[in-house]
Amino acid sequence: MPSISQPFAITTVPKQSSTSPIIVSSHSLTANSNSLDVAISKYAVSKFVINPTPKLINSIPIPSNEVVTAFHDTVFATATVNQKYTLHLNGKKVPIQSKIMKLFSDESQTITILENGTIEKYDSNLIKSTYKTPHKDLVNVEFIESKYALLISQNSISLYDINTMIELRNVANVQDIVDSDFKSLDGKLYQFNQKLSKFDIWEISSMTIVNIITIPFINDVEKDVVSFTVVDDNCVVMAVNSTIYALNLHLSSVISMSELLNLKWFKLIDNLSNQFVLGLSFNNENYKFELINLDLNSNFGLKDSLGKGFRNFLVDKQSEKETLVLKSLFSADEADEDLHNDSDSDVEHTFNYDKIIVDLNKAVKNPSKFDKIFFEKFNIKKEHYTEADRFLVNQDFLAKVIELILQNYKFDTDGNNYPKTLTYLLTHPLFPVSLTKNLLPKFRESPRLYKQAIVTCPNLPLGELLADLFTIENNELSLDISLRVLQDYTKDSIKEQIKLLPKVDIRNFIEFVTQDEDQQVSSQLFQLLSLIIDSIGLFALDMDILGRISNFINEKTLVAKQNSELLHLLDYNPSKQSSARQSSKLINNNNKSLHRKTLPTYTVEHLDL
Amino acid sequence: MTHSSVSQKYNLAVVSGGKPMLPRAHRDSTSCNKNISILTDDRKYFIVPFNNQIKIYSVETRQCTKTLKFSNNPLLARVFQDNKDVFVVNILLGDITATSHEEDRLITLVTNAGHIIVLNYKGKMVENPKVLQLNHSDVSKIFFDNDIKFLTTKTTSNSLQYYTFHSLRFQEDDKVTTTEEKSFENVILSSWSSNNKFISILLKENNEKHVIVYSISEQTVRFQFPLATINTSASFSNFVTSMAIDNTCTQLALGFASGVVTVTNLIDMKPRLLKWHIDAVLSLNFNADGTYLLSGGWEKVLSFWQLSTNLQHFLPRLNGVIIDIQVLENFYSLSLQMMENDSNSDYQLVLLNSADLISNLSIVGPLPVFNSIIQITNSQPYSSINSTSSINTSFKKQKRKLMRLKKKDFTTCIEINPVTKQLYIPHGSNLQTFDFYKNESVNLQYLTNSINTFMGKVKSELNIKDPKILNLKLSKDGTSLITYEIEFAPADLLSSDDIIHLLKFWQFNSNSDQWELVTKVLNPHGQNVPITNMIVSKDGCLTADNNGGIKYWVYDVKESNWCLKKILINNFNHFTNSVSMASSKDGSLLFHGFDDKLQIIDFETFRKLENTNVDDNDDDFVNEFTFDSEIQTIKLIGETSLLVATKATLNVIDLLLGKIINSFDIYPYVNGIYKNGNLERLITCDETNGKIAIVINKQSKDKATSFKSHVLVFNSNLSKKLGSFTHDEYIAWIGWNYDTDFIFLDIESRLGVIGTTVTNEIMLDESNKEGILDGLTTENDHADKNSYLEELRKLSIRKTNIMKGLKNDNEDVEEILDGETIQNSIHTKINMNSFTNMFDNLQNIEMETLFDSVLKTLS
Repeated sequence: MPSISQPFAITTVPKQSSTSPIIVSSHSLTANSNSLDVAISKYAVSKFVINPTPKLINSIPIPSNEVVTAFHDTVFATATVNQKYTLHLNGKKVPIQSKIMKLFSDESQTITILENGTIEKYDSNLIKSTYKTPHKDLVNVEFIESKYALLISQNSISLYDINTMIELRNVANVQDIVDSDFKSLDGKLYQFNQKLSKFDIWEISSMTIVNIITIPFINDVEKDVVSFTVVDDNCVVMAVNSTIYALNLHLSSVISMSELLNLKWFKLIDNLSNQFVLGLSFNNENYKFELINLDLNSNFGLKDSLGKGFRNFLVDKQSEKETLVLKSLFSADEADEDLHNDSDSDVEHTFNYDKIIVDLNKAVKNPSKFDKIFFEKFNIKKEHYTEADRFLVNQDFLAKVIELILQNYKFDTDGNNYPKTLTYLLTHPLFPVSLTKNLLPKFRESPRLYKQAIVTCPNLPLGELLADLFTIENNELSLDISLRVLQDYTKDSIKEQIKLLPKVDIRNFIEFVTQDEDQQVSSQLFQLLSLIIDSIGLFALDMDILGRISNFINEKTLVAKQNSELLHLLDYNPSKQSSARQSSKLINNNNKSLHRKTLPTYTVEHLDL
Repeated sequence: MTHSSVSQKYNLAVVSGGKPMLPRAHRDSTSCNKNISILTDDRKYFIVPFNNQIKIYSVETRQCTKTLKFSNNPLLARVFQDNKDVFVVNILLGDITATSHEEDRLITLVTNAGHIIVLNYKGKMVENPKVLQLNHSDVSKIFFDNDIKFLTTKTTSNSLQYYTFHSLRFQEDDKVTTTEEKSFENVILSSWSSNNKFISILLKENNEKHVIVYSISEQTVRFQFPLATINTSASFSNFVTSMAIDNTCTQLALGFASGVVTVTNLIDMKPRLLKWHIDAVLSLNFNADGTYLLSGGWEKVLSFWQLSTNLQHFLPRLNGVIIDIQVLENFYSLSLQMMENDSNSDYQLVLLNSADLISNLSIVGPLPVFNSIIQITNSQPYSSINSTSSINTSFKKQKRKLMRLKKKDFTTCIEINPVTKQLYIPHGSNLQTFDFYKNESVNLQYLTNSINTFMGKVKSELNIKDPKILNLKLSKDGTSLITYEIEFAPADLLSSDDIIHLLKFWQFNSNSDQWELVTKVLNPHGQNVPITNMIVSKDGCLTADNNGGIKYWVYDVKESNWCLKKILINNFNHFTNSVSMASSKDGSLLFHGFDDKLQIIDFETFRKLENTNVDDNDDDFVNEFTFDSEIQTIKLIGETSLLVATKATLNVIDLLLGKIINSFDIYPYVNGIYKNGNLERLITCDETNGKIAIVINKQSKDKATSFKSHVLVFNSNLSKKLGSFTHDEYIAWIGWNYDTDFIFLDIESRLGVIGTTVTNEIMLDESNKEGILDGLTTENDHADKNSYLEELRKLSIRKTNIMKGLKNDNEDVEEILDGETIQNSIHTKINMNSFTNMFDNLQNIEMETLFDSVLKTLS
């Protein structure tokens, strides 16, 4: 299962830089790198080693009036309040006319993209080329593999080939760019607009939107501190105040979630694929630059998203209120009369559950009245579930009714003082799973209900069933329980559960099964016995128990042997001139006279090699 | 999603399939002339009636050149589709109602209800064909010589027939006058000569069998004698199974149930015996000049007897039992019945050139095997061990059972190849490949070891049960086939109940156009354990047994064999046939429906998914659902919706919410009708667009054999009904064609399609088109993360070229396949939709017309 660790601090950040950017150089965010280059505005450009403990190994101070606007490898760019822009290139300071939005640097050259849309290339310390794009007032820039760049201006996004300076794509009139945050990964551009709580995912090569996802669990779109970083294709780690979510945007599910209780908020800055994320934390006092480890599977499949759709994380779970109705396949006008063989189609199948529960609540003290309401409202004819009652599908409602009965009635030996509704509900295949817990102990005093529950109630917890089976000394009930256990549960789960039970009970059960030598032990109990031996192992048993089992089994095998010999005798009885097959048939129905066929001229024998 | 820009509307059309019609092949018929297909005078075309269309095959190209579909013409639809008991009994060349017979494009159809319909078989079908109505029903044949005569045959109480010959005259005002000429009572068997001049009739008179030879045009009885005079030896059975008379009325051949053929020279009444057949002779005919006798039967061998020398030649290894031989000038037209299928009678028509005996045409419809026997009229040819034959007794038993059963399961198992879109129809021990779009059977291959593979079965061999293919699947790439078959042990032995289960993996060999066996697994889930469900996952195949066991098979390149890779030991303590499986799109999860429980299995560990996250609340975690009744099928729709059909309800689980979000009542239409697991064949889902189609079959209240069906199309979470269609017959199977359409097959072997008419709204917005299409192509490329870089590189090169091009006087702009440049060029735009209209009715277009239309589009 995917998980998100608690953060651990790499360095503290001076208070004043809370709103000014912290930039992590992407060149250090590679798979096996142990170092981290971070530029903190008005403070320093620092290099840390991460393992075994974060440690500062190098630092270049930045004047407290300079804000870092771009940083890559050793090169960084700063801006001051009075619009003085500087590029710090290999220790040299190069004045620039506009703010550097992003820069990329490797051994051969440095590429910078300015706010006014200019792309500049530097060869070591010298400017090599300048290219003015028609885009002004850029709000964001993303490099793609150092070969291409996305220039995001107020209302358009353009894709440039940096080598040739050719515009490959341009999308004009893009909505909501100004309030959006952009990140790109693996050919996709993720645009997140906090005001609308919405992701627009662009396919970069075509510059088309391939997916739009709304995040429903941001409470206050204005005030919440929301940040995100893309860790894998369609997988985003998002921080909303102090809660960190790992989201699968493709399926719209929350893969994992972690709450950082001691923090006020956490702001995500960058990440190393899906191994860890980096961010700035604030706990009302200090700012810290911190690292959070991620443990996410490399393929974000359906497996990790089961039951974790966005809607399940809604603060007010509206979806709960929707009631499930069994609809008819054909609408009234489509149902043709001559072929319609549904006899009960004229009966109303939609029920007003809310009203019925109110009525039932009123009648709860009077079992017969309670039954009358229940059986009449749902048009139930029999005391047990039949297919005619299939329209009663609302499990929430069933749960409410059952809870109502369980709360208001006590079940003891003599009393039949409870609504028949309960016995009916125990036969309903949609009996809510959540209510099966502790159901058996409640009915223990009332044999009728106890047996009803065991025989018909689905999804009784295996642990309770086994515990009861191993303690009960009633032959009939033990048979029922064993049937139920074998019917409902797989061998593996039974074995698992047996391991959790106390040894004494198991010992008692084995004694119970093997005690009476004359008595016919049902095949179910025998089957269970083998499961018990499988799960706890033979050597965990005492010597005398082992002896008993051994004797018991020997006897059984003896009987089996005898039977098989008898069958053989019958099969090859030479006095009967019929085929072996016919004679075995004769045993079964010796009253009927069968016309006999002669032995076939050839037979087929299977050889075991 | 970009899909939303394409609006879809579903339509239903019955367009393909059908069965070749042999109107006189059913059990009550007394005629030996079963096949009514005809050859045109120029010997270029072979006209074959199907139950839903008339198909015209070109003898030269061996292809179907034209189809006259009953549903495409309002008049034919009225005649044939409104009343299902009406069928074609005779096809004649030319317009027989006209006085001059010069027009060679016309044919005349005669129906059993007495319709005479004149149609053209070349060119576009006329809107309103000429129809005349005879005032006789039970019309059987029109004899067209100088005068026009027709024959009516009525079944009398003792299952013998009453033959009446009438003369027929057409008047100017399209009225017909008929006069009765001659009638015969108590007819057992009849056969007319190839030139339609003579008919030989075997009838019962005073408890004795008599043979009468009647000249139709002269209206005289040429010969009449008791059967005993030519059947001298008492050791032969008196049971005549087939008969033939030659064109000159000099020789009469009788075939007996014992396998003996007698040829009698009618002039001196001397019979001679021809012995070779070892079971009933089912078909006989003389060639045009009466020098050869052709005979056929259960051996699947066509036998030629040279009557002057007693020499015999054979044409062995035909696909079925020969039930009819017709001599059409230089061709022999054979009707073969494929005995593998006992649920339906399947016929294959073969047209042989009489000179070299090379098959010119082989005509067959789809050959589905239904779960239970379809028609009461379903006919099996007579065999000499008829009375004791287990297939015959079982057939009778089944027939009785069919009558008793109120609710019927006629489902069948078919798979569609994801790549070629061909239908794979298991047919007993062989596999038919049928091309829905070409409306032709492509291939028929034996996949099992059986006697049928080599020869026909005769006499007691009929008791040997052939292996049966019960299920098959095709891998996603369409190159591997997985079949599940069962082999029966010989009867009357202790081991007779032992059934061998076989799982076979096949690879397609494109050189031989055949499937080649790669791996064969005996009893894959253990002795006597059936495979209850099979699915293909990303790169392998999963099989499930009736006890909860699942096995995962993958082709191992190193071993060059299919190997068992994962196994889930059968885990349950009880058995059920209600087993279903579905695998998630990314392959991480497997959904396993067993009885009324749905379990979610982690594919990696191949065990039930476990909650390993300790912090999670236990209650929220779902790995199992319990339903109201046995789960019949589960399908994954889209990525996150799971469709679960039980015996009572149709549900959709939203896997992300972990609960049922929509539910429908199907209890009245499903419960007790379908065998466990067979409902799966009537529910399918469009995996790319997330649409579901479900078939509801309904039996008419007053008539047990009359059915009607509904097909409902839903969106992925069943919240919206996209279409509801009715069809006039029971639908046996529905499948998704790996595109946007659903294909279905009804119990008359007709194939239909429920498809979308794509109205491309994107085409209106040309400027945006390029981008959208790009998006569509790259969207499918989830596999390779770096593919986008390649895309970008190409884009960059393309744009660079354009820039260069613009500088060089727009020289090579047009060569660049870029939407924007083409849009600006003055040439006609050819896009993917330019030719769409032409494909709408491709089957009915001749080569020249097709070529013309292509040129027209291009110019």
